[in-house]
Amino acid sequence: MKEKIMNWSRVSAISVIALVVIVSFISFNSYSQEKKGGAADYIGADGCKACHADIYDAFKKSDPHWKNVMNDKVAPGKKGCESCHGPGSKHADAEGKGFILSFKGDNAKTNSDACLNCHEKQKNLSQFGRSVHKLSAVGCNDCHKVHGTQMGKNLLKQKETDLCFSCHQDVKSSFYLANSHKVLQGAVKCTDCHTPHGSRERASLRRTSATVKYEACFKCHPEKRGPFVYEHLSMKTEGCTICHVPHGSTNRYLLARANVKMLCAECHGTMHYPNISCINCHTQIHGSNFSSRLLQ
Amino acid sequence: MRRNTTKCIWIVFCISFFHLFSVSPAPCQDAGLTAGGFQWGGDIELGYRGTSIAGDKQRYDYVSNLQNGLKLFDFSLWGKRIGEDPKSLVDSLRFRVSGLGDPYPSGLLEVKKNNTYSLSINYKQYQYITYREDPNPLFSPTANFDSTIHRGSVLLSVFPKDDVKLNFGYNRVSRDGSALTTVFPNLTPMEQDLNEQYNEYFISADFPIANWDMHVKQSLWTYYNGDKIHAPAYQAYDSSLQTLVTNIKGHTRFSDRLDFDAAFIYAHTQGTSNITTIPAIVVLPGSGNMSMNTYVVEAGLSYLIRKELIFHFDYRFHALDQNGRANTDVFLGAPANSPSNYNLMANTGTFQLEYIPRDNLTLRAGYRVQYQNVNGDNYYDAGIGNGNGGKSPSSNTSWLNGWVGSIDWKPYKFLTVFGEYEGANFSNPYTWISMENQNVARVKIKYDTPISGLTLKGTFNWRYTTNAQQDYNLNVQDYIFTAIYKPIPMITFDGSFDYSRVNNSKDIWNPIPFRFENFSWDSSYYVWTGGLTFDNVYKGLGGRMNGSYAKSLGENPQNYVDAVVSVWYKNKCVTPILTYERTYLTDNQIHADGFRANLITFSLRKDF
Repeated sequence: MKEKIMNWSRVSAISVIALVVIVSFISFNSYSQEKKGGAADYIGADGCKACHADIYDAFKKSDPHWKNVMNDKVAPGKKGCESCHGPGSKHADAEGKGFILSFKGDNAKTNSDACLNCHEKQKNLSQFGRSVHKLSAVGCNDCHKVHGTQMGKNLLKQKETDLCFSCHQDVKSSFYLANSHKVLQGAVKCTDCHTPHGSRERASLRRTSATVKYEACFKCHPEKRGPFVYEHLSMKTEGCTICHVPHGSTNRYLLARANVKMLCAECHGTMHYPNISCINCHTQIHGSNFSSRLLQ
Repeated sequence: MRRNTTKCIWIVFCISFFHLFSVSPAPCQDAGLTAGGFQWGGDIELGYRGTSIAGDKQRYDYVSNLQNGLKLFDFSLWGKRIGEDPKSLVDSLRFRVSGLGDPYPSGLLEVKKNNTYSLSINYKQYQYITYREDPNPLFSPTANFDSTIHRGSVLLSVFPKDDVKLNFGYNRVSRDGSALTTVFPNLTPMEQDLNEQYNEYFISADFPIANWDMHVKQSLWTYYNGDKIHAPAYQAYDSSLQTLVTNIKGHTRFSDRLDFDAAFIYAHTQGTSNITTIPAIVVLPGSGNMSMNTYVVEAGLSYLIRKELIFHFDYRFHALDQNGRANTDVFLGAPANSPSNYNLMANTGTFQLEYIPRDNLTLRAGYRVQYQNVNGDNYYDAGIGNGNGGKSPSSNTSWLNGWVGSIDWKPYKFLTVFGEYEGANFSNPYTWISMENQNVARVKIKYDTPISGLTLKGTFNWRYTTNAQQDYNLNVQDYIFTAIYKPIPMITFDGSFDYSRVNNSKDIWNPIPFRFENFSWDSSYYVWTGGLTFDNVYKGLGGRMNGSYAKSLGENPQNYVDAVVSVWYKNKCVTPILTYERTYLTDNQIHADGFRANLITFSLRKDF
């Protein structure tokens, strides 16, 4: 029965791929036609200032994008207001009614494409198109605000943790438990471990240089990274979260179980010596260079 | 009595301070200074915290660790050059320190010259304190720590061309302090000095080649461990590891339709570790050597099939081989050398279709597969049926597959609905605990009600994991409800409720009564939070009151409460801030302990 389900799953996966390839060929012509629409012309930031002086002044005062406005080397489509909102001639002709990207009511892909037009060259943004955020309809402008934010804060709409918690309320709750990473106290930020712009790690974990799973944890806890002569193999196969709950836990050391010997028994299937805590003897539980039984 | 008197004096002093300022109007503080061709700004907040802690002081240090004394809560200074000056060395700079006097101080310095260079220096410190929960070492599952983690980094980026960036960096993490630990077979806790250092040196470059945006990075990691136990069982480590890591990443657009990125990562680790043990029991004095190679090849592409339909694909090949050798383990014939090997090879692919039929609707559907081959020495596979050993004796390969999907729908401006599902089937779990089947689902709703300023949010998370072979199952249901109400711009109420229901069970071999028994755990908990923020309600008067109550159930009954009331008064000179915090914990695991603490903080803040 199980094999049948697996075979069905594999057939389904192959079918999906085949379908995508076929559809992509069929759609080629239709896309080419979509591209041929008429376009507005660029009028420059001064043209926008005539009606939007307040935004223009705030932009000039605090926004790092401003430096592009004055740069003659930058193409018209990549500087000033029109680099994000698109060419403004039709919008100006229509006295401000439509014909530009207003970032209001448009979908996350359209909004993000406007930013990625320039920023996708940054190595940490090149995977944003496939990130969990973007595929879940979270665009750049859901977290960043280009007008009127303070310098040096990545143009975030709010303080970073507040911004993340505005959607991830379940995660926020776990930080109120007695044992937690001190995110609410400001000692650790969400982006110390996760990258909101996408990664191939699960939970969008940050990975500076891939050597083992859960590189994000080892950034602060390098003594657990290894390699060790005698590894605790679950560290390599399942990773840290097989024993620890990273955000917050009711148990000490952010462990998944209150009683350590029960946590060990979940994998090892036996109590061994029922009344003694396992790690009193197996102290080097993350890996040892001297003892195959992780004793020292 | 003396403590209460001090508290009273503080309160009277703080109130009098408010009185002094009450006659002042409360306009915005002066902002923006100009000097030396720079516009300057910043803030400073300095204060004193008094604490009164009853109950278990060590537990307080573990959970909160906010102590009394003078604190520099925040100091920041930024400067931005007014106008362009090509001859200047600096266009902008930022300096910030925060939390001085508290367990998590940090510092930052950034200096930039537009299109020339940027320099960033960071430092963070974390004080980490834990203690054994039971004085009897045999039954205590924990070790003591009184340690400090230091994290520092220096990054210099230079821009020789508009599209070329060179980075030179140094990262350091170290841990010092002490731990209380046991050494088999001596189960009396002994003090261990911690001396661990990790350094990373790297050089990297971002540059274009043809239509490719390239990133190349070469790093050297070094790690040293010199932890030492003095008596009664002397044990000293002397371990060092060096790792060379090479990263090459590229990203390009082959056409308007096709976005592609790929990466190759290679890492080689080599190290030696020595141990001295006096007396030598079970583990002999000697040394271990280890080496490890890691290869990662990644690729991803997005293909625009139609304007509203995109195909995404991600692939990763990950291989790791490790060789170790030590002459210290008597179970493996020490002082003769005994080898230990481990290797892993995994191929992971994800296929996804993103479909955006309308601006207010985004659909995602895909399939994820992983083939993994793992082979390592498993010294705990002693084989009492399936009762012993982490590794399943027949498993070297595993096959994972499952569907993923999500929907984001904004039917109206005031309503957002989001749903997500991930499934995973494991055909052959490598370790006994690895799940054979996992289902994860999530639903989120955001509703801006017709009542002006009232927003309601609800989240439901569900995770169900089973391993039929082990009679293991885990069932997590998380219900979260949040309300935010802003009746007028000056006042905000917020509240949330979270009920996390966590149950799991498994058959475990119990030597007494010598049979498998089904054990079940309940790790459920509730969290309530609530708060009120008001700002400029009377001249510059503002404040924040918030509290949280976390109650855990089942295997670890615990109550943890934290309530904070903070009041400030903005004015022309400095902003006085008075904060009172009440926090307590009761914990009944193994033995009852906990603490009750009152904290009062008075600080002065000036923005300039």
